[in-house]
Amino acid sequence: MVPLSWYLALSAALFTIGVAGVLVQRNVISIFMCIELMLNSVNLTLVAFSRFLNQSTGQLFVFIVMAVAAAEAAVGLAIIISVFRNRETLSVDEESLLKL
Amino acid sequence: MLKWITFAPLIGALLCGFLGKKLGEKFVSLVACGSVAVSMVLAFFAFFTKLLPLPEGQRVVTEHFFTWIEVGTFRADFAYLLDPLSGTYILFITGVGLLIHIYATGYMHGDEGFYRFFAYLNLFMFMMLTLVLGDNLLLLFVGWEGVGLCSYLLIGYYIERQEAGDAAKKAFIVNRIGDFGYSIGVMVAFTTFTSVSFVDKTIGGKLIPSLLTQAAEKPVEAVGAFGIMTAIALLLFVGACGKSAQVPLFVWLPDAMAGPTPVSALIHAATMVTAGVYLTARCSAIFTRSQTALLIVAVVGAFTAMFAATIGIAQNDIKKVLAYSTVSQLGYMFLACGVGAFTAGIFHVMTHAFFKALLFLGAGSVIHGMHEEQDIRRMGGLKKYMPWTFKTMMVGWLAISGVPLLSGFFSKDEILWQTWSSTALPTGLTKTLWFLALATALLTAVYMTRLMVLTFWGKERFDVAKDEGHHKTEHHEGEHHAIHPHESPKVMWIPLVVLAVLSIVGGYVGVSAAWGGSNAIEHFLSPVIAKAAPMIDTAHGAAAATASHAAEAAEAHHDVTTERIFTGISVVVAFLGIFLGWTMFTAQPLRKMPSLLENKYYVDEIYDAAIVNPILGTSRNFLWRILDVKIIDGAINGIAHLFGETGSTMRFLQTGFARSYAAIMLVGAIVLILYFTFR
Amino acid sequence: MQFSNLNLDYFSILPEIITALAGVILMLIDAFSKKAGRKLSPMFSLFALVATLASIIALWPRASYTASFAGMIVNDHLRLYFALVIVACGIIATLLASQFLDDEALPPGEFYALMMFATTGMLMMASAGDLVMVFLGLETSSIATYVMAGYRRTDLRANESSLKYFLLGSFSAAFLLYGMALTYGATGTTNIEGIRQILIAGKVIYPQMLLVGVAMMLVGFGFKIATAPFHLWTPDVYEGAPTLVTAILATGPKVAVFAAFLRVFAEGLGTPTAPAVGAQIYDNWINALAVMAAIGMTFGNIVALAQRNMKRMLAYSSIAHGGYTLIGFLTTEYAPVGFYMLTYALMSLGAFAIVQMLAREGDAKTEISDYAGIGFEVPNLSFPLAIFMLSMAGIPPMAGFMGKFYVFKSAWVSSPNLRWLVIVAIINSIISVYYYLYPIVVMFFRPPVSDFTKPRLSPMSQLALAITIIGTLYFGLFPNGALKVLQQKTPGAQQVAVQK
Repeated sequence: MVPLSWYLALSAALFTIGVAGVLVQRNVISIFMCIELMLNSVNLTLVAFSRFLNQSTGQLFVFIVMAVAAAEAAVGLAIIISVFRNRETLSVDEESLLKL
Repeated sequence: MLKWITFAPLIGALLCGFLGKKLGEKFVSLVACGSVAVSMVLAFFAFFTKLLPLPEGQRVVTEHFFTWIEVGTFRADFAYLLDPLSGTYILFITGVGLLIHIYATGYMHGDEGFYRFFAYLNLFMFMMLTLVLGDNLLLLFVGWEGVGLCSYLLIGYYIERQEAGDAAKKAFIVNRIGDFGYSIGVMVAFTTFTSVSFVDKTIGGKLIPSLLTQAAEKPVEAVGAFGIMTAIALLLFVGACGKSAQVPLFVWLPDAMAGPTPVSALIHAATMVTAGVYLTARCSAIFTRSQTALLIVAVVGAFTAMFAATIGIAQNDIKKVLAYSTVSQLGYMFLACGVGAFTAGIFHVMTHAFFKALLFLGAGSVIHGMHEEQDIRRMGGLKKYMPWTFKTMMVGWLAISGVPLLSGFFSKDEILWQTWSSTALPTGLTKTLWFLALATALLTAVYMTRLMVLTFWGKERFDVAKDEGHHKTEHHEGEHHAIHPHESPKVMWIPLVVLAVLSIVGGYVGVSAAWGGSNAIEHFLSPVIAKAAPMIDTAHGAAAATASHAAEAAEAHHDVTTERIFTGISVVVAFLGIFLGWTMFTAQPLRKMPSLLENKYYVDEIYDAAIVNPILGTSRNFLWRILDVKIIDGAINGIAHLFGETGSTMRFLQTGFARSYAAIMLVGAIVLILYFTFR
Repeated sequence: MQFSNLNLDYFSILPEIITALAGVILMLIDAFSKKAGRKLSPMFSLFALVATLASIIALWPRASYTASFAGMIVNDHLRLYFALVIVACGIIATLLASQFLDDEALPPGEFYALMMFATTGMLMMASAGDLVMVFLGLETSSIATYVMAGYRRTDLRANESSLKYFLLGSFSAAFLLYGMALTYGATGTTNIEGIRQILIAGKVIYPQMLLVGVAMMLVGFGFKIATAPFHLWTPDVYEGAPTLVTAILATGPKVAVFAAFLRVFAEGLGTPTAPAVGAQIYDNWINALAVMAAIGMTFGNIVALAQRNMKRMLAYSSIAHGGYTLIGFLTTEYAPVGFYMLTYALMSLGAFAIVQMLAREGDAKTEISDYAGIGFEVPNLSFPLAIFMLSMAGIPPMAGFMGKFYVFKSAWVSSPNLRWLVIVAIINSIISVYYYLYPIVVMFFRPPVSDFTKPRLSPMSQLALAITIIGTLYFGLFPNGALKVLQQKTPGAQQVAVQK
């Protein structure tokens, strides 16, 4: 059997990639996808723990996270569309009317 | 009953504030003065029928209104405490307050904000009485902040004057520095005594003695020993310094003169500014447990007295002179507290309330009669135009200068003698402080004489071009004709006469034993005031009981002849000051004063450069612009490079970008994780 | 989690059920009758919220740590108290909303529905007994508020505010979630009380992983309550969102997140005497929180000094208030935080409400200089604003003073080695007076601007304003009632904490 640490390492790597993506991507959609990647890497962690602890809690958590992620995607895309309609750009760097 | 003493003016304030605009000046005058009059009658009634009949030593009247906050072992009530100390205070607060209210109905006549003015003034009375009557440190703080707020509103009363708004803000902020000390002081006091009340309270089913009782049982901390009592006393003293304008927090008081003159008289001379002295006297049980604290109080007081008096000599604005004089006199009161003569300090608070209110109201009358002129260099010869103002102010002048048989003489002499003979401080120090105080007395006589000479005697100097900005009411504006000074209406000079009488007779409650008096006020106050421990005993760590016993013994045996000689010295000094002032300024009224003094030792400028500007600069330039915009984004650029992104990344050299925020969050997260794992 | 003992106690989630159902009904009203919706929706939401309030009060006698739904829902005093504050915030916001939507000609139905869903999420956060529920509640309220922030759809600033809030919010939620996952893995449970028991018993499976997990949860919570260094979104989002939405963002969700924060950290991880990693965790988070609080309030206050826009100023001030509230965590009781949140919510809602009324359409006038001389033009707005400013500055006898005093005093007494934080906080509250006074100076001590017209005030807005003012004064003068309520201890779990 593949040991727990491998799953955890993989999900940590995915999470890091997601974080890095949020920082370096300029396209809002890409950033959003990276956030989704972060959430899914967490799902992997949860499932792995659930398997190794021999419990169902983790899997249940995953279902809820997936539902939340779906809702977030719906709202997020709607916000992105409304921004695009007003500005006709998807670059997050153009979004800087509000400054300190 | 005690609560109605405080609530009568609050009701007046609400009526004036909400209905005053519609119902007009008559109504407002009636309500405002009426509510203070009710308060005064109640105060006198409570004092003479409730407090005085009680046997000496047990004169405490308490009144529980409601339990304000009670959680766990902490309890603070809306409850009132009438004892000799607060009793003395409420008498002169309501008395002087009423006179000033009456005066103000004349002074503010025709002002469009008449109702607003009296609403604030009544609110002030409410807060001041709450401060004095509150039975715990927290309720005292409500009044403390409340009077600060009202003072803020009233200093900034003349909306159209820029300097009024600035002065108001300054007063408020400087006072907050004092409040910092006060707040921490309350917390330390609570952790030490588990009580913040001045009376015994049942907290959580247990009877907790008042913090004063508990403090009195603590051992005395000698000079140099920084124990818990020293900490509490000094923290409270920081608060007192802010409110009572002591060095280094005195800067707001002179600026506060931008408010209407009755306000200066009531708040910035007679009542609010003496709240610090009240606090010190109220907590005398704490202060006397720490000789370090007493020493600092005395030194700060004496230094302030001297410092402000020198500035007062060179000021040309009639109200500024009086303001510095107030700072100086407050210094006297703290000097008295510092040498352990709290009763002498309170005595001086009272007489000062009479003669300084008189002087301020007189000054207001002069300003009124001179059509808003405040510069004494442009006055002169006013005695024939304003006979009543002149006569009454003369009483005030002689009283503050220390001319025998007037009120100021008795209280000031008492402070000087107590300073000389104090055993609470090292002997060398008391003599130095006494000398400083004596020099201040001389200066006081000089600058007050200068003020009087320039205002009432000599040639008329009205012709100097007038500053248009000083017009108060609209119908004066743009008129360039010569000034015709006139006496103020009756409603203004009658309070002056009453105050003048009080300034003459007010001192007789405290004639010392050396002059055949009984020093009634000291006997009256002493049950609620703790005695300072004499210096020598502390070396052996003597218990408080022995200490106060020794003090009493020393007091009983003090040399009557010496005291009389010292009184003689202060009389000589007073007359010398008046003589000096008279000869110097009748001969040459507009003589040039040292510019260092005229510019108040540049204290304001120093504060601006050293404190205010750096903070604002940090906020505007460093934290906001540099830290957020340059440093943080610089870091982000670094991160971007790390990930191999080039070229257009440079564009986000300004913030407002979601990604920079994400990057900062990431840095924060990494720091947190590292802290958690490697600690 | 034991499925054999589900304990499906539907009564205990009645508040959540009411608000969720009301949200659905509001959407239906909007779908079928747009016209009637404008009048009907606010009335219906108010009705629903009052019913929620009643249900919370009805639950009060049943308060205990008996966990229902397999430990997902906890019905103790902490939950009920915070739920009460959350619903109160909801009622005040609803009262203000109708005028805002009318003045701006925005579609009404969705707004109320979103507010209901957000409230549902907040209530879930307060009642969560399990990390899963915390996450679910957090996201439910966040998703609804993301939309509300961009409610003025054609406004570029609102768009941007919404987008930033969404991106950064989900980013931080991912951290929170990862932290929860690691905590779950390290302890083998997601139940908060279960985590506590495991820490006390010293049976943590992977201690290192728990440390990382807790740190990441701290990031997530830190973002939501906007404390340094996770506060950066606050000013932008608060400024860009319509003022009423800002008012909602600054109060309800913050109160709810503090409830969940208390539940997870003060209760679940509040184990100073647990063996090995348990005590270390406690020590770590309390110190980290102290530093975060100190940086947060100092940064918030000093930067607020330089602000000339009312909404931004209030945004920075809310960062500072978040810092003050965190001090309450030093006490391991929920009373100081709870009371502070109550006072903060009241004065914040009031202040933002007035800013909204003065801002006019499209938030055109939110610069402080726009308020010049209005003091005596609109005394019914300027005096309340002055009261709120003074209350935020901590001047007695306003509620803000009581809140601050109570938090500072409790922390001072309970943790002697973190007293420096209280001193920092007091210095901060002195600095803050400077900028809170600024609007007052401008309103009362400056000549008026010429083109000022009196804003319209609907009866509902007036009622909302009256509630906030009376509340601000009431809890300053008579805090004892609220404090007595806060002193009520839930029998059960919390006694374990006391005995230890």
